[in-house]
Amino acid sequence: MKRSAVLTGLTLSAGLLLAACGGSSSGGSSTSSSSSVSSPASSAESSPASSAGSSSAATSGGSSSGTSSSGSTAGSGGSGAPMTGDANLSTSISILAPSYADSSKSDWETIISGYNKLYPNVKVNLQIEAWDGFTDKVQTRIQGNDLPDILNDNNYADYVKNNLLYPITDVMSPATFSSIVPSLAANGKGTDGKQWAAPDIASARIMVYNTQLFQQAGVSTPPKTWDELLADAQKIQKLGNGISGYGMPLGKEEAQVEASLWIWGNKGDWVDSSGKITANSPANVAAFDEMKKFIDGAAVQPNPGATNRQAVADLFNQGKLGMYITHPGLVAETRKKFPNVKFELAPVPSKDGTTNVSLGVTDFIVAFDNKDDSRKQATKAFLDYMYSPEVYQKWAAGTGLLPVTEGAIKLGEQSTPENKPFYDALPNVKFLPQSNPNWSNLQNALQANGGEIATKSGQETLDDIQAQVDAAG
Amino acid sequence: MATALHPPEVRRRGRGRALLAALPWLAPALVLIIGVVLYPAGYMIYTAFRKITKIGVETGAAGWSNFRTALTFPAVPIGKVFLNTFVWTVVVVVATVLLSLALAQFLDKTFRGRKLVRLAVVVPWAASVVMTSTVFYYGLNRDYGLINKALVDLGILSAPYGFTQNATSAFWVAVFVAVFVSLPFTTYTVLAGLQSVPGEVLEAAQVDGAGPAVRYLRVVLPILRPAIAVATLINIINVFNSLPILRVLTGSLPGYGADITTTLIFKYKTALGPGVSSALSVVNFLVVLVIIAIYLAVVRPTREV
Amino acid sequence: MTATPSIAPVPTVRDRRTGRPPRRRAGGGASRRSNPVAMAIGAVVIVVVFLLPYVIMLSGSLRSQPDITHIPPTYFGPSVLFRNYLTMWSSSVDPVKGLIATVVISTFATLLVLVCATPAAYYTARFRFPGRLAFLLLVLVTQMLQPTVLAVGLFREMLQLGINDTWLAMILINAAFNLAFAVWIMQSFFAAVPKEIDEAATIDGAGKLQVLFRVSLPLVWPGIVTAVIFVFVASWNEYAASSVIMTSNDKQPLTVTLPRFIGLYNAEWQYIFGVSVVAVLPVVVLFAVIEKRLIGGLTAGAVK
Repeated sequence: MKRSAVLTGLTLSAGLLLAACGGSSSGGSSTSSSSSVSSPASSAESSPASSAGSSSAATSGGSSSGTSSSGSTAGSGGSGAPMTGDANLSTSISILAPSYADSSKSDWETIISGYNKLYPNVKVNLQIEAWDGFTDKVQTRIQGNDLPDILNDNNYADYVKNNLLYPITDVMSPATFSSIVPSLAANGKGTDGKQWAAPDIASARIMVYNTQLFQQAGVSTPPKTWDELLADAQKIQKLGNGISGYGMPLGKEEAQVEASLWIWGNKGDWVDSSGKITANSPANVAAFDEMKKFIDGAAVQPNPGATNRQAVADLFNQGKLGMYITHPGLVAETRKKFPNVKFELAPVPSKDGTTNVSLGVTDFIVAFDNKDDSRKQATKAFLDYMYSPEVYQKWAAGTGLLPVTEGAIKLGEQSTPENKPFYDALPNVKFLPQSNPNWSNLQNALQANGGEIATKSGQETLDDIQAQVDAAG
Repeated sequence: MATALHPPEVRRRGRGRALLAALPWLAPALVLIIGVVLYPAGYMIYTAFRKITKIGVETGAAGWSNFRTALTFPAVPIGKVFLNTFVWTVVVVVATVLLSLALAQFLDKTFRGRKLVRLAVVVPWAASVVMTSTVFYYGLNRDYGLINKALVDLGILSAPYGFTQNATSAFWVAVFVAVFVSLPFTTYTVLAGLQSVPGEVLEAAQVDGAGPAVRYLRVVLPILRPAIAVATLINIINVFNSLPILRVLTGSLPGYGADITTTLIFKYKTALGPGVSSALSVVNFLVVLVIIAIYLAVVRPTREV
Repeated sequence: MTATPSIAPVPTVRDRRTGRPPRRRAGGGASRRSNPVAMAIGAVVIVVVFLLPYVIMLSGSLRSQPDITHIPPTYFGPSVLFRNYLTMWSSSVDPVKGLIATVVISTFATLLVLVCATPAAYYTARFRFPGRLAFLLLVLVTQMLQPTVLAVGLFREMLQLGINDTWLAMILINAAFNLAFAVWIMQSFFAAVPKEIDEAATIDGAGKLQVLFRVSLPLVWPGIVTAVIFVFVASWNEYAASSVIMTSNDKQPLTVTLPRFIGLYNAEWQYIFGVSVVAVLPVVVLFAVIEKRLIGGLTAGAVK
């Protein structure tokens, strides 16, 4: 017995030691500073909007960024607006964010180290997780009462519904908030009219088509109406050799986006005028039946219900797909890694060929109310720093998607001219109903059942979806 | 090697004293279990009866409503899910145990390169289940999967097939992968058991004129019994609760045709929140408890002690 | 089906280590010479079947990302990119840290299980006491719980204990949830050791603990080794709990780190495969080292 006790003790203490080396999450570095300066963190006077607007060249390239040598003040690049730090602010905040690309972690770490030059005594705990399973990570932290201070997510209505958030304008200076393009910022406004979330990146969906396959199939211009789309897709699919006409990703990943494009193309919608989810409205059912026509008509890739957007992109990149609806990140990948694929971008087709169905998505920054003033202060300082022109521009570029501030968009249009069609589409995009409190239920139901259209009728599929939304309500 | 071996002094002692004498030996295990497992298990049951929003905020008592939702959520064919769970567990465990018996027998022989073969058998164990499933998922891809290509090149298939793109075939691929990853552990447990088969007894049996089949059934299997019993027990539990294989191989399919209760719990957790998924977990736990109780009553793996 | 007491495994024990007695095994064929050609074919088939997925994994790890999704696929890529094995470590995903975390967690969890399971397994196998069956069943019940849902409870528990997001938490969790198997397998092996051996030692004046360490333990090596591998591998591959408990990226084990190679619009499969290949190696090496213990059987010197 003695021996086993000793062993237990040894193991436990060794484990403890290692765990301690790994660092505990609690506490944080609370080294108090003797400085008596106590300027409020919110006084970051830089006005990102105006500075970015005034000179786009100033913020580009490798000019000195907001992270100067040390101390509590750092000049912020060419904009000339100083960011004031505060060594007195001593607390710790935590950030939870998804991984857009494998550089995401270091992109965030760059922001944090710059921020820590201004606020040396705020410990920032960063957690980056894969998109897959991200919702569960958030859920666990909420259930464990361990709310992150800052969350980057594609949903906010649920957090609003549960009263967990600060209005984002409480934790962003007016200047910072106004740097965000108003039409995009509006997407973060709840149904109660309050600004709960701030977009951090945006993306628009546009059709991309393989010009070589179009040529081979004798299609001269990209299709505008569904009838043209069907005919062209069939022509391309007839080329054989494993080539498919239209890529229809109805798998888990993005069934909600693909489905939205179709119902909008038929002038349908997910939400009625009173804000109620009406998935199985006649216009939506007709749109789903049209999708079925494509599936049965040998115009799309095999097993669309089980195909994710990435898989469709893989087909396209290998020259085996005529066209699909894409976003900037995927197009950039194609351009970079598959130079043999020649392609053009075109508007998303609709039933009558004139309905605008450009779809926009934004992801959001939300701030959880942890009932702690210094954390709130540190959060506000962080977001102001994060959205300062150089810092934000660099971070947004790392995601491969589109930025949301006026300044960064201007810069982006210059530095990535190939994304021009996406930028052009952005002002007119229609957003998924992300502010609707039931949106996530609809999204889940679409992801779980949308692909059933391959084997069921439009009515059956959408009835199931509606039933799940109602039951989950 | 059973009951006869109990020390008489233990019997003579009072029950309380016997328990007291046992405690120091069991204490480390008990402390670990009670210290770590009790709380989350209790919390799961508690959660099953609480109203919890999808994102994890508790709002009050739920009574049995979480259970009702879990079993009646629209578009979920719950009967089919339970049937799938049954088929999944039975097929995977039976196939695993039978194949493992054969494999262990083979690996027990002396032959050149035996060590290498044994190491090869261990690899699926060493690799994470998620990765193994992912490799199969990727290898079976209709468009760029190497396994698909090989099957076509060998003339087994006439054209590449989207194995993981419909519920039925994806489910059976998952069964295959589950057997594949369960084999190493089971095989090695049986192999370890084979080490205690004494040569003399087999010789004696042979002298008595018993053929190989009779010797295996009458002599080897009984000695392997404890090892097989425990390996089967662990397999039943693990297979019943297995999530990653089906999640990787059938996760992007629409509908619920390839779901077992475990994957449904996982889907519910995101779509309906922790309350409903805990409720289904409690049901799941009770089911496995019943299965194991039946198994223990029939097989009695602790009997020879 | 019960083993009869008359079959005592002891006598052969001694022969095992020193030269293999030709007549040793029969299920294996004490009598019949196996056909060497058939054996060779069988061996090759087994190796191919068991390694095939990992050959695909290895081949994927040596390709470029576009080549992995090439349609139609090729058995051999246009070039073999050994440099993937260098570049993957410098990614922002930082798999080295994940690998270190995994090694530490698995090693200590395994040790902890041995410490906790061995006395319990020995005692339950050797002595009958009230609550014995209850204990074994309690242990078993821990194995039946569904980790996906338990994770949240564990998260809250560790948060309250103040060890959330530490390796210690994962060591305790892995040990607790794998204890069941270790106790059950080891007790079945202890039970197979004839009682007489223990009793002889006891008469010689050895205490229970001495009997356990000096006499019984060496006799049940295969069981211990099986338990060690089982627990080590299970901890090595654990995902459900660590993905929830370990919130700091720098301390997460590999299973949690790896999915971050999958971004929103590209997946670095070559790196995921590469790191996975590397992650398999330590387990295989561990196995190669202790395999002799497992198969070579019981040490001759032990039964003295």
